[in-house]
Amino acid sequence: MEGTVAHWALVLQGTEQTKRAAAAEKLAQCSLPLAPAMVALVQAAGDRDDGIRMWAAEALETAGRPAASDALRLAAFLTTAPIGADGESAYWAAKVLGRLGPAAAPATSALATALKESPYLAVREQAAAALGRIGPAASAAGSVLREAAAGGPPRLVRLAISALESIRGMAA
Amino acid sequence: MFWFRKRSRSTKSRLPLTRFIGPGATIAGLLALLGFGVTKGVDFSKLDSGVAQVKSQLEAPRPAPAVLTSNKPTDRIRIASFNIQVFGDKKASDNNVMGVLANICSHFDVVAIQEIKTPDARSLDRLVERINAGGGRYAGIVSPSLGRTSQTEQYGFIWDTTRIRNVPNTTYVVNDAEDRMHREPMASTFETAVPPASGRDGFKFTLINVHTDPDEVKTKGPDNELNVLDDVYLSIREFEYARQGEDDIFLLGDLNSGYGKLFELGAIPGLESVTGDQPTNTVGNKQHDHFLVDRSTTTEFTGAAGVIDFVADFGLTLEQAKLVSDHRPIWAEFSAYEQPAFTAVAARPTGNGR
Repeated sequence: MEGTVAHWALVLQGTEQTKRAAAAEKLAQCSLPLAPAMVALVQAAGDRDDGIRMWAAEALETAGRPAASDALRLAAFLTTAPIGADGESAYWAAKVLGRLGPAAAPATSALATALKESPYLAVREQAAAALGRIGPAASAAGSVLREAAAGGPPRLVRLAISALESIRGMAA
Repeated sequence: MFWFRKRSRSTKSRLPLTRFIGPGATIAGLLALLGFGVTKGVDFSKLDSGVAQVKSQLEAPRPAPAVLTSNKPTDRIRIASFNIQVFGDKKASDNNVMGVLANICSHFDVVAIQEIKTPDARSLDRLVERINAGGGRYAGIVSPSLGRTSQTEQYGFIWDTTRIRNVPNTTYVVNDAEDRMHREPMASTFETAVPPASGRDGFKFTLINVHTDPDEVKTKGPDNELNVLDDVYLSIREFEYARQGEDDIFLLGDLNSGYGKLFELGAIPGLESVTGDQPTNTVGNKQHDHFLVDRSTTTEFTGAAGVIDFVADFGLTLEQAKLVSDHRPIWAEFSAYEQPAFTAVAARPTGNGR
C-alpha cells in the first residue's frame, strides 16, 4: 500500500505534521488519479500548516473528479466549517463538487447554504458554479441563485445567472 | 474591459504596487547551429558540460554549475516560459533543485516564471542569486500575489542583463475589474542590447505571462479564461502599440490546455503556439504550456522553438525531476535585431499552433 494514493491520503490524515506535509507534496507530484485522496486533500487545504495547505491546494488544482460516493462527505465541508476556518476547505469542496457535474446533486442543499451564508466570496462563487454544473437536478437552489443573480460582485452574478440557465436546461 | 495597473516588484527595488496607466480598449548559438527546430527537444549535453555535475548534485550538494552565457549567440535571443511548481521557500532552499533551475534558466535570455509562492520576491531573488553565483548577471521582477483565495501565486520575469534590458514603466498586471480571471496576467516589455556599431535597433517585445485556472478552461462560455485571454492579448497589443509602437506581443505560460484547444485565444488570426503539440508536463504525456507568437508581425521569430526535456537532458530520475517541477520549460528563438513587420514571414515550423 505504501506509495499509493490511498497510503498518502492516510498519512495526510495522521497527526505528524512533517509526514503530513510530505504526503501532501507526494500527492501533488503524483500522476495517478487522486479521487481516493480527495476528501483528505480538501480537509488539508484548510490546515493551519502553510506547507500542508499549499501542497494540498496544488494537488487539488489538477486532481480531477472526486468519487461520486464522496459527494456528501465533501458537502460537509460547506456547512460544518470549524471555528477559525478561513474558507479554503469549503472553497475546494465546492470546486471539486463542481467537477462531478450532475453526480453532485446530493450536495445541492449544502451548496445552496454555502452560496447564501458563506462569508467568503470565493466560496459563494464556487458554490454557484457547482450548482450550475449540477444542472436541472439543482433546481431546489433556484431561489438562492436568483438572489445572488440580483446583484453583487460581478463574477458571482455571472455565475448565478449561468447556473439558473443551466438548471432551466439552457446551455451555459 | 481591461485596464492595466502597475503591480510589480523588482527583486531589488519595488515599483509602485498600484498605478493605473490608462485604459486598454481594453526569450544557443549551439542550439541553432545544431538546427533544433520546433519538433525537437534541447540536448543540454550539447550545450553544457556541467550536466553530469548537475545530476550528481541531486545526490550530493555541489557548487553551482558554470553558467554558459558566453555560448549565447550575439545575433539571436531565446525566451522561455517555466512553471516552477510551488516555487516557495522549501524549493528555494533546496540546493540541488536550485542548481537545476539555475542551470536551465541560465541558457535563456528572458524567462517568464509561473507559480511563485512566496509573499515577496525572495524565491526569485534566490534563483537570480544562484544564477549570478555561477557567473551570470541576471535580474528579476515579480508581480504581487494573485488569486481568489489564500493560496495566491506570483508571476516573475528574469533576464540576462548583459543582453536584455527591461524597458522602464512597462510592467503591469492586467486590471480585471470584472474578475474574469483567477490570476490576472502580468505584462512587461524588454529590449535586446545590441552593439552601437551594428547600426541597428535592438529587438523590443512585450511578454504576457499567464497561468490559467485548470477548472476555467474546459467549458464553453464567456468565463472560460481562454475566451478572456484573447481580449487580454488584443487589448495589450492595442495598448502597447498606441503608447510605444510595440507590435511584438507574446503570450506565454501555463494555459492548462492542449494543442488545438485554446478556444477564442486560438482563434486570433496569425497567433500560433510555436512549440507545437509537444507535451509540456514532466511526465511527458500532456500539454499545458504554450508560447504564442503572431508570425505575421513578429518576423524576428527564427522558427526555432521547443520544449526542454530536463528529465532526459539532465539524466534525472522522474522522482528527482518532480522535485524541480511538474512542468517542462518551453522556449522560442528570435533575432536580436528589430525587423520590420510584414516584409517576410519566417519559415513555418512543422504543424500549426492552434
